Amino acid sequence: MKTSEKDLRINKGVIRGKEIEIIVDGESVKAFEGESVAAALFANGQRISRSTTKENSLRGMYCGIGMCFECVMTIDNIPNTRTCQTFVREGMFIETQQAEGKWKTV
Amino acid sequence: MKNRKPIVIIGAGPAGMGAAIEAARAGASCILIDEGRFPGGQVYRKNSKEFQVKEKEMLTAEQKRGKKLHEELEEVSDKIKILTSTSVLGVWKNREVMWSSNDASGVIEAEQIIIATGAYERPVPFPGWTLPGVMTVGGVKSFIKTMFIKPGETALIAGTGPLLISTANKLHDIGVNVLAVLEAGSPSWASPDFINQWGDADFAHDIAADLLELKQNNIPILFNHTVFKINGKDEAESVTYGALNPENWKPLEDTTKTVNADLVALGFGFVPNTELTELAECKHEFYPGIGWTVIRDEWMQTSQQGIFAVGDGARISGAIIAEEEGRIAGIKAAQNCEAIQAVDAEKRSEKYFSRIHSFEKFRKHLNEVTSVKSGLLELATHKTLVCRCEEVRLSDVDKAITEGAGDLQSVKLLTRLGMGACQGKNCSPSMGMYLCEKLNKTAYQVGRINPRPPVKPVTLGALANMTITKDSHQNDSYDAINTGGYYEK
Repeated sequence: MKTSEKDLRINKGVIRGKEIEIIVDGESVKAFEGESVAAALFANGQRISRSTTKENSLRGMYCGIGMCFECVMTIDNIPNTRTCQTFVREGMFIETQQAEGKWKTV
Repeated sequence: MKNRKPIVIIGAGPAGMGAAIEAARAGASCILIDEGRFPGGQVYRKNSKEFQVKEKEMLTAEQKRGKKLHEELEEVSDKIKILTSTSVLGVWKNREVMWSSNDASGVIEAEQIIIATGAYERPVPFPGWTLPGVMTVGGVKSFIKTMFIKPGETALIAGTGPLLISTANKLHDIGVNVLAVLEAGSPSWASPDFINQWGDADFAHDIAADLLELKQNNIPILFNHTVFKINGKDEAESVTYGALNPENWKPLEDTTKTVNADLVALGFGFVPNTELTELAECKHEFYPGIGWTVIRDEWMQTSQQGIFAVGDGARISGAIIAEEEGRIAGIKAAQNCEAIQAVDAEKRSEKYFSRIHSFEKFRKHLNEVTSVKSGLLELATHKTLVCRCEEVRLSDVDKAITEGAGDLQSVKLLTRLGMGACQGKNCSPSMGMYLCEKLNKTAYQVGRINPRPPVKPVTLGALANMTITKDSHQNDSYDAINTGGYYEK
């Protein structure tokens, strides 16, 4: 499992769900059931979700309420998935999205 | 009951919850739809069911109100079909509601529709506002409240309104170093005796408590100041801030200072999320400094028959008033479905009307906490991205104006402003104001960016799986949706 120097979780006053592993850009990352994908990534120090189509500039979660679409990533091969509205599952496959992302053909 | 078509309530925040509770109590069949995993909306957002949260002994007034509302909804939840993790893609004036959830979608033929879609933070473009580490204050507050994760180490909070203060306190609580709160205005709530001016209202007491806490936390608040620029290579690293002219909020360039911060929380008041009322062709009106609101009668009915708009999605009034508006609409919608008689509707709604009337006297203060002045527009340079989705710069908008664009719709067609995934929510309020100033036109002349269905992205696969529901007792079409969430037994 990827060992990050950061774990920004606050443990006072809360017991999280079961510890699971998610795959982020090919590396195994710790997450807890009940966390949004964005939350699990933030906790691990990753705030960048994607790079833009025209200017290749970096973006991350902005509104946190599902409105802005800045936090979208490719999740389980589906691009443009809002990470603030999607909750982690064991083995979830998450990729930082370049431009409009790529659909995997089955 | 003659009619078996349901009341469809869109949005399960305070307004939608209030509507569902009253409609269900009146015996009407209703469907409550929300994008979130659980009802609650933003203010009363629930923790994940996988988390065990130790409740503080002393709940804040806001938490107490939320707890009570959740309990009321739970009491009637067996009478309501609650569709969570479900987006509404469109609403039409013939009262059809199109939804999607994962790989399913459908159309519900509704007897009545109550639109309770809430609000979002007013976007103000300036250099660096698209960097990761820059978030809205509402987003930051609900993120830490529900996810228990620090979104950064060192924060600066900027914008206008009391949400800045409660967010600063919340960040401080979890160990984030909060440098300061920058309030663009010099609002009346900053005066020591503001409760006397505002009247003895829950809302005013919340602000007073937050201000006291801010002082105890030693977080400075600078009035007539805001963020001018956020600097950083890949993410926010430092912030340049300065003073604003108190009259018009124009930035005073020679006053700037730069501090290191990796989290910038922004909130310049709120904008009602009116895309569904616009799609349904309901009438709207414009208030300078505040923005577009939905025109309603005293029962919260829009200009379209059988379509209601309640809460901050119709006009910014905050959670307390939103709940009362929702209740009134829920009762009236139940009457329109012939679940109750007019006399009964009058009786049931009496106390909610009187609550709303008691808030009228501080309506102007509510406007004050959510309005902005146009000088803020000068924060954007020619190179600043004004449309985050389609990466349109202010210079592109200026070029479109030079080429003859005289309203938002023409700017959209020439530049792609507002054509991205957020459907113009993060550019049209600021650019509408910009066009008004630049062309010396009214908001009505400048117009709006027309929303187009689907208002939320959806896959063709989900659309291919579409079902039509004419009857709320029809269950099979919802099999694909997570209808469980918090209320699953």
